[in-house]
Amino acid sequence: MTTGTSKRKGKRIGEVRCQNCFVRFWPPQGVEKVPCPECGWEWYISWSGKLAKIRKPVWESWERHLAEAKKETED
Amino acid sequence: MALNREIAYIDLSTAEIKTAPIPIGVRQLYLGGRGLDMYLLYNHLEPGVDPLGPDNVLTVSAGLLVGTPASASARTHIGAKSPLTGFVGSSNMGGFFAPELRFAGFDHLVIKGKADGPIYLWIHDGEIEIRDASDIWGENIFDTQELIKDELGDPEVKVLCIGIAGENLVRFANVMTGMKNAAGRTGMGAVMGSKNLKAIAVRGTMGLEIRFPEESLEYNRQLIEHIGSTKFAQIMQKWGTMFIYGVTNTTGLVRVRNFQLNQQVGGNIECEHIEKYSLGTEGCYGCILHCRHKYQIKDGPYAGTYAEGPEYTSQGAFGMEVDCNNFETILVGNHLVNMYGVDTLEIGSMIAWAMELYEKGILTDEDTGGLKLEWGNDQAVLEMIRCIAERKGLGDILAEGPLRAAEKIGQDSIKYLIHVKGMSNLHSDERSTPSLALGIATGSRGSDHLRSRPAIDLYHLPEELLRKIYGGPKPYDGPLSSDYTSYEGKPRMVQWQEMMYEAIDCTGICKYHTIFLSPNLIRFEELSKLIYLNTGLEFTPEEIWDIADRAYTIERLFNIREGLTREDDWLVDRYFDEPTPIGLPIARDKCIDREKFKQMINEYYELHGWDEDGVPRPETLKKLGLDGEPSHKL
Repeated sequence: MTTGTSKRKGKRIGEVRCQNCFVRFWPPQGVEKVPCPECGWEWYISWSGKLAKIRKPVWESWERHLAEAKKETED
Repeated sequence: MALNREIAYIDLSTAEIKTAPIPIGVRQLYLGGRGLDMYLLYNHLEPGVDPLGPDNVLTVSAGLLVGTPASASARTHIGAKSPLTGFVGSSNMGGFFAPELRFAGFDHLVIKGKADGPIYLWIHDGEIEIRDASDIWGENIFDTQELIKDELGDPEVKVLCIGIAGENLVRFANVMTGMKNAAGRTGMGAVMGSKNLKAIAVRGTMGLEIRFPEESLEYNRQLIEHIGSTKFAQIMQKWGTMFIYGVTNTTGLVRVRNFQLNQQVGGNIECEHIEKYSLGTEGCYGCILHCRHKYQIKDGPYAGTYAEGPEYTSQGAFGMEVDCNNFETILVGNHLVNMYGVDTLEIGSMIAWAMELYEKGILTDEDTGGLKLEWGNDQAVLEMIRCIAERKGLGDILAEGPLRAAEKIGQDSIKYLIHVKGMSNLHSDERSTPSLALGIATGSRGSDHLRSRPAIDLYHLPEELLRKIYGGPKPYDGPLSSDYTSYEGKPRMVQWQEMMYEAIDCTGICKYHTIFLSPNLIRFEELSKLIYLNTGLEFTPEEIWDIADRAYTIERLFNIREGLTREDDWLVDRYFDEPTPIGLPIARDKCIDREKFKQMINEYYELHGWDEDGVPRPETLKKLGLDGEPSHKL
């Protein structure tokens, strides 16, 4: 198609994108939750075969990440 | 051939029915579907008519490519003057009705007047009958369709209809076909109800002749293969539009507690919960996405109930906005709104607004009949759906829509409304996303996420890719920004999406096949080829843009004729004055900058060829061939 992505068919099926820093990464197949390799925010992953999708944040670590982000901004 | 379907003019006051061909010259200007409907409305409606009076005109149509091999060519468009906003009324839906309408010989129905009592239209192979619907009046959406099929003795009949909300003239009642396909926005169901028109049933066996059948099938095969290979399609096939919640709630782009929060912290209503209830997925005519779930409710008073959906809008309506964190409430709420035939988005927003008024003491137990309209009160939310659809108690006031309800409730209730042009916003919070804010502020039918939203702005796509998309087919070399919090270049993105969505609505192809939620899908170039292979009509991508521009401008002219001014292209004060309190760092502490927003609107008007008041300039009208409208040619 016109954006040329048809050449990369299926390449991103197992990839997710961190919703905090937008870095793309490949969580290990079948893993339930994973930290972003770039920023460290943690995400639950849902799977449908090899199709990976971020399900939701690990809410338990949400406040910690926010506090760290705030500290980084202040520093 | 695919172009030889007719227009039927139906006067319900006199029972007079006329049919006429659609001249090829008109096709070349508007294609069909939404575009041609808007032309018909602008020509047949007198300015200032009561939207719920007999002088309102209702259009029902199938787009130009509906029923052809083009993928997902299933959309039915409904138009009228909106009883919710007083401006353009326009909504479309999937399912199987529109292809059947074409197979029965018609592309457009123009319905005027008011029947003496309840009726339905029966359209079959070029014939149109007006039939008594006294026995069906009072029935819900699901039973209405079954009763009509039984009466006509054909289970293959396709029916669009209104439910009890439409009969009760709820100003945001919808028109539906099947279990969940809804023309939900702008109150088209109330217009049908005001005409005593309960339903339209169609059955056709008239084939559509495709101009280049083999080439059309082959091109469609390639398109399907491409679309199906995208990650977007695979996620839609698995979870439907509910997948969006995973991004928007996490980031802090949703409305929670009406507009007090922008994230449901600890939210536990994500799409994956549907797997517990799902009986599989279902698709519309000719579509591979199959994006809606068939499901059965497990527990509670609705245990055993079968329904379809829900969409992302119902997650918002009965989840985030009212701060319910229970997936079953969403499933039941979705079932109820579909049964009653009422817009899930508008009703959720009205309930959330009422809850904030209750929290602030503007509404009391006396007003609610003792119902505790407290955040997260699942039973109160479900009860309010019933009260609004049946116009009981406070529901009777809320059924009037945002502005009329605020006038009746008084005090400073209007301050808490989240609307544009009298239509409630999606459960999204656009304070971090100026492009999305501009889209809802300037939408022709009110606050609108389906007619101009550059949703892919949220993906932080590289500027190079944005340039490939938004740089054509009409040349644009102005700024574009990958940062969704930026104000740079966003008017072009909104204008481009307006043209794309308008064009696709003229063809009757589903928006989920275009650049809406994925940057990899159909654009003007593919539309050009699809139209040519199926109909033989030759348009360059630029010419399709012009057609969309013409149709969009006629919507603007309609609204201006009904009194729209620049002040109507604006957001409520909370967008400018209340920063977002939570969410990811990128979406936190954000509000819209008034001055920058004014500049965006200026730029947006300029791109359209409109003056500083938002009125199309004479040279713009001349360029689009609209300087002689209304011409009353059809």
